[in-house]
Amino acid sequence: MKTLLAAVLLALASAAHAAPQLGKPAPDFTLEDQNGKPVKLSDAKGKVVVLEWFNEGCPFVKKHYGSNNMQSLQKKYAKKDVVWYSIVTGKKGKQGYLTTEEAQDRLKTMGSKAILRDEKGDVGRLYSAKTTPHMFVIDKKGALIYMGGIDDNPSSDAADIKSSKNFVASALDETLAGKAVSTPSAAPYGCSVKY
Amino acid sequence: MKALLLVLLAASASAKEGGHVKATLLVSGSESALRLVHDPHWHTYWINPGDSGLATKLTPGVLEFPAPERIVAGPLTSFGFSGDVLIPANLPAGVTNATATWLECAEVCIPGKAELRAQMVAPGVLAAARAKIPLPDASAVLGASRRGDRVIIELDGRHPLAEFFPAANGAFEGARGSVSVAPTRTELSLQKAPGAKDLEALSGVLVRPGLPPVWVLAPIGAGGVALRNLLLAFLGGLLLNLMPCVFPVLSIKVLGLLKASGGRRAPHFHALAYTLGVVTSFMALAGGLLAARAAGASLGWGFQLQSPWVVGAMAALFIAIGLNLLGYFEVGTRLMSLGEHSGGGSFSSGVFAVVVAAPCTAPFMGAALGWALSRPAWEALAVFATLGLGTAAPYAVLASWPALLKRLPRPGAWMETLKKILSVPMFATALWLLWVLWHLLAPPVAVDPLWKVWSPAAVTEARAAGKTVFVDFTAAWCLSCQVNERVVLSRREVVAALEKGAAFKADWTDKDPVIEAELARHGRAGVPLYIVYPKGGEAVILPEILTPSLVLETLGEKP
Repeated sequence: MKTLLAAVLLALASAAHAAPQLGKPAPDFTLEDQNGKPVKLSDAKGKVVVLEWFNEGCPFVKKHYGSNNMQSLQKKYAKKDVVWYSIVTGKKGKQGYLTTEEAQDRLKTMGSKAILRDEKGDVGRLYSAKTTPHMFVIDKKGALIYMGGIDDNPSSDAADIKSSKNFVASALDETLAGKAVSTPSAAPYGCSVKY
Repeated sequence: MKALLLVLLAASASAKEGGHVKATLLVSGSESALRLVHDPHWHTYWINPGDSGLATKLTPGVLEFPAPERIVAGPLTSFGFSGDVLIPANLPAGVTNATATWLECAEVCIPGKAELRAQMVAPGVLAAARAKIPLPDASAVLGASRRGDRVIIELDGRHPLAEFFPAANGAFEGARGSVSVAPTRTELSLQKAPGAKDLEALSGVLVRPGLPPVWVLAPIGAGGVALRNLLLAFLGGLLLNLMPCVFPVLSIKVLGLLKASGGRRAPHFHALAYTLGVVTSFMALAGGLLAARAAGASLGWGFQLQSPWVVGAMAALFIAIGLNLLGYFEVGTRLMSLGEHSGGGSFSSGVFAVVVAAPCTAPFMGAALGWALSRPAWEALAVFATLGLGTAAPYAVLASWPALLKRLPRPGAWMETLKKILSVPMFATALWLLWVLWHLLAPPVAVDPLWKVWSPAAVTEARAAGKTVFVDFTAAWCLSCQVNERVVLSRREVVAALEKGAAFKADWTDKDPVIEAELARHGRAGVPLYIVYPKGGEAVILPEILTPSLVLETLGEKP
């Protein structure tokens, strides 16, 4: 009876999480990394976490990787003990899907802690991830403090990066300094997540 | 060699443009337009690309887009164009060259760019394109208001297939949102995007099949919606008196007034006590409901009738009242205070009215209660209190102004006859409650082959198969549901129309968190809820009281 009640409550809790909410605990999940090893989001509690929706073929992702903008952010904040996960949502056969070997290979040139693979799209739906890139920042207590686009310039042209305001960098700087995030959300832009 | 060179040239030209969309700049007199010809399955984007994408731009110049189409990919929806599209452009005077940039997507996305030199075309071609630009029309929309994390757009008339394209990027989810139709009104509900700020005004394109698309600019009312929901709750409360659950009780109360109209003291006192009884009971019910929901329970309006104990007790109560009306015994009169003049009696009969009202949902009540339960507790309680005031109003008015009673027939022997007549609905209600009890206790039996058991997956499957889908959210204890099912949904022509598509029944007689979540998704806290998914379209919500013509029309049949 108790287990039944627990199951009902769990179902309710998951149904209630129709959309992620700022200031509320970031929905927890477990996904396999590039080595097939399970990674649980809540295991990183106590550290600031970045979730980045990634698709290597998308021109908006290329804008930030071709210019080395994304990798330098990943590396800069890794030094400040920020855990950065790049998430690939999509089944095998969908554009942007990475095999274990491909993911291992791509990670070498990135500064992320891991590439997580969300084949069923459950985690993408849990976060309402719409675009690549779509960025989420979670504070040390596990609360969601930023969601949206990486910066304020929805273009696929790398030349625009210099004049853009990077919302993820400022959210990270602010939370690491113990301050509230000044811009907690912005419209995400990019290619659609390949559900 | 020459062939290879040609291939290379062609490749470089298409790489420049992206490859799957061909752009040309057309000019005729003072008119100009950007023409985009898309390969099959490829599309480009509107000023607000929706959930993903990037708007097409022309520099120098300004594009004046026609109404876009919705491009759906799994849970994501974008706004854009496919096929052969003419987008009127305003070019600065004397300019004949412009650069177009766009994002073209099928499953993958490729940025496109083309430097274009204007080509002359015959006059008239571009004028037709210009005529398709949505123009501002203040009369298209009755109003826009916030309801929880949705914005509701109210339209005059019935437009089950209406669509709205918000101009602001990232403010709303791209999905069409639900449409709910009433006989003379339509409500379009847009879901706010997670984390998005509340907008002060709504701006975008409204598309109604059969009418030219229009540009809508309307302030989004915030306080108005609270007032509007209070008004709906009051009206719902008033109408509750006419519902079969309450009407007999109210009639008996009025009889009591007639009897006592001679030597009563302080008529206002009774009216007040009765009103207080009704309002207090509604608030207590709402408080319990809110507390249980805060604790994570899956409950909605009418939740108490999901317990066999409550249903059994109510059945016994109705039998007792019926017997009492027939004059068999005089116990229990105090509760209903038939002919009682004490304040406590009036208060308890107010409580009683609420107890018997629970199985009935009056028109207007569903939307107001659904809204209330998504709001902070004090707003929800205010709505329930107003519902109580509406419910108490007819009796309170009659009791307060004895002059009104004089218009009713003088007391006499006819009252005894009327009491006997009124005992009939009481026994009928008791029988019905026993039937509910049986449903609560007995395992579900094989039902009508037309109505399949509802599940979100079954609906998705039927919609994917191109069927028109009707979903009936119902419960054995919901009297309005039973009336709709017997009077409207079992009519021969309605059944015939339902048989052409797929009909599902979601039975909420027992608690069910999946049904509860689905009701909440449509802004409801209880049954009845009727949803039609037209072929290839999004959800249309029907009113709580159905008519055959409304159902047939929404199903795409000529009534």
